[in-house]
Amino acid sequence: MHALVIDDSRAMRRIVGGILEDLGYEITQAGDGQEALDKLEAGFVPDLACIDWNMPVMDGLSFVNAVRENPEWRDVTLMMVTTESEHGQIVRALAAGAHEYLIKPFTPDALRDKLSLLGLVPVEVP
Amino acid sequence: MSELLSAPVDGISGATAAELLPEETVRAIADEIWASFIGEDEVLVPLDGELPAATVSAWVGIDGPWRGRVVLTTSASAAEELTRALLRGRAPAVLDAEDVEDGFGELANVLGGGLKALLPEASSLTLPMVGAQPPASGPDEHLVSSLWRGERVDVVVCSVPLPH
Amino acid sequence: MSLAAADFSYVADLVRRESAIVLSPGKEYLVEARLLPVARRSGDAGVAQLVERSRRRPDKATTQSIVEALTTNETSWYRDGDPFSQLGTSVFPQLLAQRSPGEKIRVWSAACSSGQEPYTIGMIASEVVPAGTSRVAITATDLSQEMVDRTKAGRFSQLEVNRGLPAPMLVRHFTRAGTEWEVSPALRSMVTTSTLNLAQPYPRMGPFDVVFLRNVLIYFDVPTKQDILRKVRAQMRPDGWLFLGAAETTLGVDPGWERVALGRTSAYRPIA
Repeated sequence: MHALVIDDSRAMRRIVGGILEDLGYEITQAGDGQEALDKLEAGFVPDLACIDWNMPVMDGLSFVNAVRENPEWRDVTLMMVTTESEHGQIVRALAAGAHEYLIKPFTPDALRDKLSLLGLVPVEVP
Repeated sequence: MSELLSAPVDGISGATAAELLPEETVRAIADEIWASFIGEDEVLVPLDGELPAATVSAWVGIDGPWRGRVVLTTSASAAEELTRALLRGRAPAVLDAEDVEDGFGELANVLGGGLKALLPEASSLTLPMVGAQPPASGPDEHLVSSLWRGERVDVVVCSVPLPH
Repeated sequence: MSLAAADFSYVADLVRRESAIVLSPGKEYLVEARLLPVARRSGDAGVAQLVERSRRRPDKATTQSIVEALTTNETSWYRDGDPFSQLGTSVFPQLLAQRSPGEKIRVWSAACSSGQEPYTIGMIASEVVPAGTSRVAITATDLSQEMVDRTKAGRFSQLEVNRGLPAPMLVRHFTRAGTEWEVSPALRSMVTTSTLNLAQPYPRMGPFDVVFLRNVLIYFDVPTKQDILRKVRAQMRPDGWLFLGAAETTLGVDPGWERVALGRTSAYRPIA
């Protein structure tokens, strides 16, 4: 499994990337939506993209819109990971095509819960 | 996002920072951030402490019918410790200035985002800035002070009359 | 403040023995963070001292508080999703086929904690059962008055809604209320709450079509487990469904149940 972690904060890329790495993901990072989109256009299609909302150059919502415009990328699972937490913002992101939405701050368990909802980790046997 | 930058709406635009985001609200949001990002057992104690001469601040602006700013301030050493805690086991052995700026800035960003979501009208957040001195605050500066591991951590919320 | 390997394996063994829940390596941080408040309450200087005391002179109260700290509070929504997805894809459809259209479908969440389980059941019902919010009635009980009050209030912190509640469900069934999120009135109207001690006699409830009795039998000895399972069966319809926690079973405890495989999980049905 390959994940693209998109956030302008490198601390946040390390945190999200690290949790995913522990679950066996390979990680590619991008500091904004445009950098991430360039990677997709160069032929890199991840299984999962974790997407911050507020970023310079291209924000996360625009990235989601761009990914959804290209049918070749329809298998990429899109999860917003952001401090935007108004009801209306979550609705906007889902309407644009995001599959899941994790609100910052979150614990590693909360990220793992979202992945298991998405069927992207083996369900933990307690 | 241009619709978020429309003309001020009566009521919110005239409200003070403390009316819009009272102390208990600021504490509730900060506590959630500390419990999930800094550590399950990490608490901000609502006590006064000494702020050292050399501090670091991280801030974000809120743009909407109400324009404001959320500033997080602590000692340089506490900002570094916070960044280390934020990264958990993933911090490099030596954190450079850029790491701390980035980690501490992200905490301010999450704090600002959590507070922004509680405003009565849709607003947007500016990208975080970090520096030794935050921009001068307006007359309604609203200070919420805490101790974390014995170090003072301040959150200041204030109105900003002009665009960021 | 990392936990010594020997301390971790002692705690992991203890929890596995008492609850059948496995704490895999890598959960040291969780153990440390969860046990620190327990250590403080019991006057130990730290987690290491708490573990040392429990190892040297095990007592029931300490064991229980360690196990509880590490097995409860794991309240989340669809997490451990299999019983919930089977409820939607298999159990509700079968019940709809078997019951007459006007008949209520009754579900019991027998250890409802802060309310995530009964509201998850309600959300699934509203998805798959026509007019589900009025057709399905959920009884939510818990030993603790505080938990019952929290369930009734239907308000959850941001951290709680972040734990395994699918975003489409969040936006459909919740609104923001200050720093918290509040369930919709329609969802709340499906849920009736009251305190109930599972080990004591039960009032007449039900009869229930579905019972969720998850991660609670583990706290009882075998005779009490048998008594609880017998009393639960008496509250159920003969063709009802019982869901237990992943680490729990009726097998070898109470012969009055048939285990039925449902996807990757199991349910139990009364034997006539």
